[in-house]
Amino acid sequence: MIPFDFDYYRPSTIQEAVSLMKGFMDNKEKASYYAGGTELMTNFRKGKMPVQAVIDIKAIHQVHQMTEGEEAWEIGAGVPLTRVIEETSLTPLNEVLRKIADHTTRNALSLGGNITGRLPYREAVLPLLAMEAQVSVASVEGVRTLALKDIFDKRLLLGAGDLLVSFHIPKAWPKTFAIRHTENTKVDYPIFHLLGADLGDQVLIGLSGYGSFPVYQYFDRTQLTQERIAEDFAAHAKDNQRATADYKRHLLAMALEDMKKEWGGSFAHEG
Amino acid sequence: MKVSGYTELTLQVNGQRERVIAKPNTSLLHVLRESIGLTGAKGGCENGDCGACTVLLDGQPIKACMTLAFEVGDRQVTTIEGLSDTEIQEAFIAFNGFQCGYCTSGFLLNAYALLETKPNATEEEKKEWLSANLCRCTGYEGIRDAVNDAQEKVLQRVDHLSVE
Repeated sequence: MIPFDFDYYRPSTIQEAVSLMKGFMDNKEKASYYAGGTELMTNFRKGKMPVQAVIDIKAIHQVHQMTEGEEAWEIGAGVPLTRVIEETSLTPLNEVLRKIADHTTRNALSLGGNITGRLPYREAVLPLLAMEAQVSVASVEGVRTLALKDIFDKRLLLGAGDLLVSFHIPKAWPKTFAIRHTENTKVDYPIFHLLGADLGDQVLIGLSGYGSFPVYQYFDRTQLTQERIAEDFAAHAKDNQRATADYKRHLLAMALEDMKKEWGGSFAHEG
Repeated sequence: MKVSGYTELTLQVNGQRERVIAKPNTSLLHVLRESIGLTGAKGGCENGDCGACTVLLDGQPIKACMTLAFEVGDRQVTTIEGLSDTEIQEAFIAFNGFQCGYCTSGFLLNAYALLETKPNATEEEKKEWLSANLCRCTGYEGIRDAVNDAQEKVLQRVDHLSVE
């Protein structure tokens, strides 16, 4: 049982949703946008996130739609992971989504929810950064579109009351490498998840599960060594109940070795 | 649409129209069990991990403990009570696909949805779908055998229909 009462709203337009949220904020009431609900329901039940209102965004067309253009997919932030996996061929993204939670949960868990949630993993952000995705964000002033990398630092940097509407994901993507470790079973949070992307002059390395939030960095090819990557990320490693920071650093070293092998035996310009 | 306090809610459950009174913070699992009296879906972890509360929404498995009753709208809810005389139900009985039975309804609904969606599901797909459900008795062998048997019968039905 959820130990507090709230009102339930189901707006059908973006404007209605952000205006509702602004109204609650002006009245100093707490409200939450609600899509898949998989994380919110747990937080509600534990009493960790008491709200006076839930704004269910599933009836908003732009949040719920998926359209394939010539060069990119537009995917609503409320689209469940299963739909993205089954209806698109965005390989680097789908390979990561397939490992998040379990199949039944993925029928509800939304793409936007994965990267805006309170859990520290937000794994979908790794391939979305690699694929140079853009995000559309709505506020009472209107909808703006931004590069994901310009708005993601540890978490998605939304303004108060902002609504994540959709993702714009190019259909051409760079060469990627991904590896994910869990403590015991496949269906679990990651203790370490690395995604590398070959962006030409740069290599993107993103990590989830390694620290208290996803971390990523763009490395110039000319300065790229395994040691440099390991050193730059070392301080982010955090102990948790699943693995020690030292073990995660070890997994990073192993993953970089595997990535190097898969990418032809060396990082460019190394040694 | 705004819902506040106790409000009438209409759900389509197993082909029947069910009218209940519920508050917005009530889960679908609670409404099914406590208001409608369909106790087949079980409350287990109530955290989305165990799958004992699995029901189908428009044929797709979801966890009823993680779903607000008011978000269901006019979608069709199927619970274990709606799966009588199905290949999967018969196979679970024939192959002892249960021990204490607490997880059984979740497994049955998930397997039913899988076989109806993908009658030719591979071993990998079966594992992927069914890893959303946990059996604390660890009776996975009987469950696997039941699902494989039901799959053969579903395939026969599908083939038969396609010939007709």
